[in-house]
Amino acid sequence: MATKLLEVNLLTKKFGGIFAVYELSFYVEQGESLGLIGPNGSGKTTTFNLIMRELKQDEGEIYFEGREISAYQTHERVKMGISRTYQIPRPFSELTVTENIRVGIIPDALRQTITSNRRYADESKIGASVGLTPNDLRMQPYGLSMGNLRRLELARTLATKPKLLLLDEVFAGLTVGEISELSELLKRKKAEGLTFIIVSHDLKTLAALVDRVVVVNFGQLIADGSFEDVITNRKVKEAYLGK
Amino acid sequence: MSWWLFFTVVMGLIPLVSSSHTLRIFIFANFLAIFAMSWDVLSGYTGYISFGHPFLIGIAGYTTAMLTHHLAVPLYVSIPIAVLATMVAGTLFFFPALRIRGTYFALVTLAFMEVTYHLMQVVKPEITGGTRGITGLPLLATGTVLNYYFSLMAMLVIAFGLWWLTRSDVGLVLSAIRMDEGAVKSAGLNTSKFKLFAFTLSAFVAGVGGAFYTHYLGSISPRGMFDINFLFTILVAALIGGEHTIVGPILGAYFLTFLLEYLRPYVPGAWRYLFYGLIALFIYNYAPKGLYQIVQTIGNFIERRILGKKQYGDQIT
Repeated sequence: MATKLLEVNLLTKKFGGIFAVYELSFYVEQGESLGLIGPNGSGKTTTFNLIMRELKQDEGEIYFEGREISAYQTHERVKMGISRTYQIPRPFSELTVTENIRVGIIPDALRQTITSNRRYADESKIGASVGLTPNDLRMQPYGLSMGNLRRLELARTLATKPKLLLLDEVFAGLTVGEISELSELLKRKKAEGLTFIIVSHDLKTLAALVDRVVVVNFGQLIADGSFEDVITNRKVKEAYLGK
Repeated sequence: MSWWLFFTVVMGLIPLVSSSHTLRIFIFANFLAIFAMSWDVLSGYTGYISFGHPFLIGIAGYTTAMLTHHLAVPLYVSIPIAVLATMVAGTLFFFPALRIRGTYFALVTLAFMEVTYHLMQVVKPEITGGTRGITGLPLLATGTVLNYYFSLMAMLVIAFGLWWLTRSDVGLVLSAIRMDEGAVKSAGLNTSKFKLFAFTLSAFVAGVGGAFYTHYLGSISPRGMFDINFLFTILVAALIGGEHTIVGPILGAYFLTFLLEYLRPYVPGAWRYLFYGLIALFIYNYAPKGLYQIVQTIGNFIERRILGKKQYGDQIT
């Protein structure tokens, strides 16, 4: 039986009087790819923010590799092996693509960062693994297409050597060709053993990529199962199309 | 590296061709360069804009002034103590930075400076010297030439040290914090640790500069240290020179000091500040990264056209 890599239990987050996430529970197993879907504003990104501790939950627990991690800060969770990409790419605008990737590689140890010399061998390797060319690596992020910006985000997260990747709307704003390339890349990463949770509105692409889907609406879980089961679920249809 | 050597040699030869009046301007420029670099390593790199740097400089100045004046502590003891005291004061700056940034952080640091200005006048004036401050402090060196070399050496050692540090991964992380602190955390780095390093380093530089400056002047007063004009001179020197470059603030400090000095006979009093404001605006408009950008462009031109060096971006044929 596969082990649970991440489990959230009764996770709740309130903004003012509104529950962005309400008693949400789900898990992802080691090596599994999980789709997290739901209409706009249903709490998907908030859930990612809670898992990464970019927001602090009001209630509930988050377990990673069996350990409750609520007390840990963002950088500590990254060191444990959770990493994320952002819905709107957040590159370091004045750094080159290589330097952007390097930020993910740099150890969180002051003395090492002072004495390090930048050779950039690992950056090139990681960049190449996500399809960035040597020319792309020399550029600054403003010169990149949306597809390459997504690749850069992915490269920076992969540089942290994650066990679990949280991918937030990775296909948004991409051309059909770019979606196909990125999808193939994620399949390769999955085959290499990477676990990921992926938020996307592109259900067709998602169908070919995920083992299981969790659906949220108004911050609450409304369905959990295989893509085929979930997509025919009455509650899911109502959430997307209305009654 | 060769540029550093060139700069050191040129600056080392200045006393051979300059009057003592010009040398004194250079001394002030060297101290201003130290203060502006101190500001740059904190605010220029991390984006946490400090409006309270005179607070740090003043803590160093007052600590060494009081120790030498009241307790006759020798300079080689009082100055390190003053630098340590400034580093502790620098960590006071750091605590607000754990929660706030931007305008709010700038205002909190400004408050540090203003509060200290008033406290220095009213709390134990028999120790701080009150509004008049403390005069008759021991001097670091006598004679303009010696003072020039002393200030130059301090400035160059600090400049080279900071330049070297900021070229390491620390510089990269601090720059990334300025651009998007949240994304740096998401890359697995403890930004608080790196910020504390920048704050302490900045305070160390401000402490060294402040203590040396006080013993160059031989006196200290609240209005001379915790002053908004002093603050803006530091800020403009760093910005006009080019922030987050370390070298830029040196250029800015020299430019600003000489500009103000040479405007003196022609423009009376505070009107000079209007001129430097206009010149600063002009530079920002045409070279947003300051004088550093202009010097870099000229340097690249010389390397490419005159020395024939290949540069990044050149076609390889």
